[in-house]
Amino acid sequence: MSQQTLTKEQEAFLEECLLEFSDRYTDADFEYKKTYDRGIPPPPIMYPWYGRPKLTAYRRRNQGDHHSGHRDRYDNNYRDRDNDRYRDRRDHQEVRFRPY
Amino acid sequence: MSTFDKDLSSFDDYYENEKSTDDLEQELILAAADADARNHEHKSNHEVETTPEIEPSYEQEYGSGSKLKRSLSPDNDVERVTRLKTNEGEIIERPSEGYGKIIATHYNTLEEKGLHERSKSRIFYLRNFHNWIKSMLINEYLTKIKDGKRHNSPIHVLDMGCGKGGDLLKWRKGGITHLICNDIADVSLDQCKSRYYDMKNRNGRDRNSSFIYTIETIAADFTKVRLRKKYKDPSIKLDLVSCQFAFHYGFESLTQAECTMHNAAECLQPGGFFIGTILDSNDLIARIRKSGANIFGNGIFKVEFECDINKPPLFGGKYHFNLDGVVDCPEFLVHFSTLIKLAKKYGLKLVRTEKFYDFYQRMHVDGQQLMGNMKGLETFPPYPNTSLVGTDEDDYTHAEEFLKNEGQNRNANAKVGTLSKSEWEASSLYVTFVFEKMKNTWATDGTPIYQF
Repeated sequence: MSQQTLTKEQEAFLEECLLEFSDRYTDADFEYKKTYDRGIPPPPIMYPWYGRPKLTAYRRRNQGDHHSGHRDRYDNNYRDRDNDRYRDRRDHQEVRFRPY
Repeated sequence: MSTFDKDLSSFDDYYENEKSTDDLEQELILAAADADARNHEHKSNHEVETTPEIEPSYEQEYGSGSKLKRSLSPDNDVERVTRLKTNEGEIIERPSEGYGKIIATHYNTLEEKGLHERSKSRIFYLRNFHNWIKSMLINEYLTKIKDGKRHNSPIHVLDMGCGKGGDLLKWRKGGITHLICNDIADVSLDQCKSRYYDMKNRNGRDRNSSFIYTIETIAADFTKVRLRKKYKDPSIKLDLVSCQFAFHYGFESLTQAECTMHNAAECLQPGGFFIGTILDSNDLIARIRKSGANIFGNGIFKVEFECDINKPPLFGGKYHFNLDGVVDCPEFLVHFSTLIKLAKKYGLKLVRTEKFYDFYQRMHVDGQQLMGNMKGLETFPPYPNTSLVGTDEDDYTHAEEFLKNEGQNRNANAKVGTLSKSEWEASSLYVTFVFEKMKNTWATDGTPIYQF
């Protein structure tokens, strides 16, 4: 269905496709036949599954809030220590595998 | 510590780490899950420095015909869309300018629904599952791109048919540098922009703030307009072009399909990828023939054909796809072999195409944690005080059987993640595709010769 006028080149391309894919969506069309015979595969099943229940309005409001109140020192210390360890490892890596 | 410093190969850790830091982030993940459909955020009045004006008329560089006038009175368009919807069974005259305007109007007039409303939706998990597929696909190819580049090199991406920006967070996790958002519906683009600025502002307040890519937006029909002319930098070299659940609009006619492919391929670097998701035309035709009518589907989706199903045309094979009332505008069959042949003309070589089921099979081990975080599958049996989204009798028989067969190996509380059969019937229609841009030399007349 092409109501716009096609250029000569487009017409040639379309002709070529129509010829090449003349058996599209028939049993002679390998991909189509495969899909037709396969039908609908079973739905995915993930097991083991550690999904959480859907968020309720209550849980959404309260998520992440358990830190608020005393988030400052304790958290920061912990973070810094963590970062140091990370940085050490990275520096070491950079010496060994400098990419460029 | 910037995003670039982190190991970007795993999305999972990201979701896991961020999940606990910010509950707003959680909402953002869910909001991103709302990819193509509704948006819960209210439009905010951000100042946007680059808003390409919606032209009163579309240029028609490809094809002849009269200039497309964008109607200034939306009422007319709404009327036309409803007429198309309600006119069941009747053959509707194809508008002389094609369906672009109807599609734009459809998305522009989509109702906004709240997050809570959406979580009750029957296709809640289906949409999340599709988002998981997109995340994994984007991650897979961004990783390949990064592997072939120097550390911290910029990555430029074009998102064709980005809608309301459902993939914005995915691009952030992927650590890209610049994103060109293109969509036909300017209302969607506005929401995309406000979502982007929300994400950016939130990031500024966050202690773990990381670099966030820049964006530009282009409101245009990628099946009719050459996007390159609208880029801020037309000499930009793209690393990745993504077209999710929108490519089928291009197969209305050969001219439009060519324009779409041209847009996808034109600025893509050799070695860059064009990725996307479409409905599998073979499966559509197979199922419609099995149904013995010109319509098939179930409680949550419906496909109605408006073309000859015995000998569907290569272009303009029109059908209506209605998914839980979300999408209901004309779409077109994408004959895949024709697509491959057409892509070749533009220097794109098929790398891989997979049905969603096969993609899931290949990716489910790597993506297990992300699947849980994104709620891409539904927990069966359900938790106490929660209900299943599927309402059909045999929606979960496959999961029941699976658990029965597992038998003694499991404890009594074992749960599986799955989709209801009704959702899966819709989801299993889709395929992913990946094309790679080839290197080229130049002929004496200036045309590229691609090295396949």
